[in-house]
Amino acid sequence: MSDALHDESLTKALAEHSRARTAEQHAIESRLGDGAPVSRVDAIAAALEAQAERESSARAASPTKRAPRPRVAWLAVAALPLAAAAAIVLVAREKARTHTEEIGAAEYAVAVSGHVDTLRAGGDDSFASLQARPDAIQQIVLRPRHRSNAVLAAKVLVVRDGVGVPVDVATEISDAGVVRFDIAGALLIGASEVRVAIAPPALLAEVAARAANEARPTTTIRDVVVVRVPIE
Amino acid sequence: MTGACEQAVDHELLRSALAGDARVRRQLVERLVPTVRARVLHALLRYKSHEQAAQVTEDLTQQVFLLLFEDGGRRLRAWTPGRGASLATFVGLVSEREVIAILRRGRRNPWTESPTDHDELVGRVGAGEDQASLVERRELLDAVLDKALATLDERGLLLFRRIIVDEAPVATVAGEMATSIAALYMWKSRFAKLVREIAERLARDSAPMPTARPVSLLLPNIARTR
Repeated sequence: MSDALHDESLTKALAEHSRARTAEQHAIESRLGDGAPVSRVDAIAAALEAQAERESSARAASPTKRAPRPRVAWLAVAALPLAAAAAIVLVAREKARTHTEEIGAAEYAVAVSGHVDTLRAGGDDSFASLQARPDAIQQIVLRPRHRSNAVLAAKVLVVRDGVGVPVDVATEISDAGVVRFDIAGALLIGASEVRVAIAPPALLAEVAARAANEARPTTTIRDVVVVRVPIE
Repeated sequence: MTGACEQAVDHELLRSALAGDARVRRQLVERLVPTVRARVLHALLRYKSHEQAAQVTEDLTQQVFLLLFEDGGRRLRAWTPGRGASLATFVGLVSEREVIAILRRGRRNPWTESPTDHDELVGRVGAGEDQASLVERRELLDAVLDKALATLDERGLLLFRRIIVDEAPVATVAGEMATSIAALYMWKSRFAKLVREIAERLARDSAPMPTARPVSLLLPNIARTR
């Protein structure tokens, strides 16, 4: 019997078991009835309220959140450095871009596995680059150097002739910010690299759009990164 | 109310609750309490007698709600209307995963410290067949399912529900989830590999126990080697 059939029977057994479990849960739900004691609902609502307040306080106390400064003080403190920074940016723009890109790349460790055809037994080796093999499915794992506390999303782009085109691959992101996805080798034929735009969901579309044309983060905002994975 | 209309209302409720509206948050809790309590009680009944489970259900239900709304409701924000699951179904899936995680966390778990009475455990399976074998098979499937669910993120839970449990056509799910068919086949393949690895690990772990039945006898074709 083939491997696929082995897996299929186990998956089917799990599906059947899960359906049975769901039926039991629904039976319990019916037995318990729709209503919960008002006191219980109130208790849960109060606990959620307290949790929301704690999280709000923690966000306010976070070092990334600064207390508002008086307008005059802000001008004195920020205006001069801003003016100086603007002048420097004009001169050192290209250098700064390269530096930012390097920071972005260094934020994540790249591990590619599945260089061999997945139907064969492969080793556990991982690489820092992808292979454009039409018969291979490769898994990419991007591990951040530092745990991220932000909610992140990722978009994958395949670069051909310097232009990145978004590809529809399912990405998984752990609480710690580790990004994982599989990509078919057939998608990589004729491509030079894969770019992975990682950003909070609200910024992702903008970051991915910029990453299509330039391999660097659009901002130096924390948690916004474009990781480049070369294709051999 | 139609399914789509209900989901639109739920989406609005969820948005307001996560934006900080305490009144709407309470309304949402009231609506979801039956779903979460049923998941909690069902999971507890695997470890405790009915009486013991009933005593801790309320506290554990509250703990699951705190997890659902934790970090600005990060878990709940993964739900979007029109993706093949109502809010209640989605919350049920996530609650099940969370309550399993709570119950499995730590070796000295206050929720599971008393074993289930053997007669009650057997009574749940029913009579007629080799009861010991049925109980063991069920426990193994429970263990594999629990471990598999624990590894899935919110999107993975939805895919598990739609593709594996509901056996919905992959093309339909691709439309619901706004993704490609190829991506879903890859997910399905990876999930099959995951459960096989979990089953193999369980088989290895159960091997040194002299009285334990080999996993391969209980779940044929699972405990093979690559």
